[in-house]
Amino acid sequence: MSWLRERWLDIVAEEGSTRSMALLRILMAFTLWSRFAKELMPFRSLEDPAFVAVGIVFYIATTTMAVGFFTRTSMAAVTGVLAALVWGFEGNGSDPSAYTHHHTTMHLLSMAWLALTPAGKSLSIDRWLALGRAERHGGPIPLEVGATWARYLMGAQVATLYLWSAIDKLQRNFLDGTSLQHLVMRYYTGAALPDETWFVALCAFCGTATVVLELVLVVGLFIPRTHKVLMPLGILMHALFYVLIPVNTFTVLMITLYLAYLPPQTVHDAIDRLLAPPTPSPT
Amino acid sequence: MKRRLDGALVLRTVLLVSLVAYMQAGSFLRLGLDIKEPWYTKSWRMYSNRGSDECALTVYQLHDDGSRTELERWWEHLGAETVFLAPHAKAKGDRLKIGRRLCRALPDTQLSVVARCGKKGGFRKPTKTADVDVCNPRHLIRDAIQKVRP
Repeated sequence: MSWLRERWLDIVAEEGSTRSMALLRILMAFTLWSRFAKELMPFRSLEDPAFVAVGIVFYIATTTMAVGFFTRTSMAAVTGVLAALVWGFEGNGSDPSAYTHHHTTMHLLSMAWLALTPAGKSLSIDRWLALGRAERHGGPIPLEVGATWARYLMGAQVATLYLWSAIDKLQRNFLDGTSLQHLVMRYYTGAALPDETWFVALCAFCGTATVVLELVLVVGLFIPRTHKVLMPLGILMHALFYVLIPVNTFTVLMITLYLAYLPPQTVHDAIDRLLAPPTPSPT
Repeated sequence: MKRRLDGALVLRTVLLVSLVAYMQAGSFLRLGLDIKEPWYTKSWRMYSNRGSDECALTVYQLHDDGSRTELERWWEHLGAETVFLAPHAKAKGDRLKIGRRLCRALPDTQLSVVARCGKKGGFRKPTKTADVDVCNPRHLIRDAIQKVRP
């Protein structure tokens, strides 16, 4: 019990570098622009003032979130916008269920958990201003450190998706590749579905491998020493989804969320290493 | 040194546990208990049944001696340069539509078309039409009579 208590305290009392949260914040803002900016353009829905208002708040809040200005407030506002889309509007003219789709709710929930992190303490205007204040008053340089426990919520969100996605696929028709054959007909071959043995076997392999990998990722991504193997495999799986089926921003969102699994100090050190001044040339 | 669980850590613990439970709720209700989740939860459903309304077609060329051979790359006769441009068959009826287009593209041939349509959870049995010449109007009339017959 003592071991478990200590591990739990490691999670809830975690104080670490805020750079990985800052990277998540910036990449999340770009992802949200890619997913929602076009359909939230105010002129597209002038007949619906509430939707116009949501669009205006979206543009302002995602911009301030991206640059890290009033970051906490910005992230809360972006979460509010996404919640309004999911529960207030549910869809748009071209797709009445666009905002209740599980990809959209994944954006909302990930954003909500990110809003609980001190993501504005690094790589932000807020930090720039804090540094300025410290210089003016002669105080110490503010550290890029904060309570990063909420990154486990983002990790849990990703794991939840993998878990239920795998449970949903634990059916004979997915494991034997039949569901993938359906997808191949829909997106690629139409009525000309190949019925060669190699093709049926490939679909069965891909179906089973997807479910097995998702189940492994549920637990494995929480174990740092597995990252070197599991993260490339997970990224490869999402890259294949992106290339083979129309998943829109889902792939980039999932890969971005992998940052939440990395120990904050690892990301901090990696950025330091990347930005280290070049060694002088001997000549 | 033993760390203490102060108020802030208790609050974080409560938040973590309750929010992780919330994440599971919608999917557990929908996928675990087969109950429609309430509006305030969300469930994850991946590609269940997508594409299950499509049919795969196999086209045969029928010969006078009663034998048949599969017509390879039949979609090319409909102008599709690659398999990725092949037509879609969304229902059994499309078997005849595509068959008739092939008959027009290949005059003086006898063709049969077998459809293997998807369904929720798998494929339906292939249609028993491997010997039915879709280019022969008599067969089409017979099919039509069978459709209207009670």
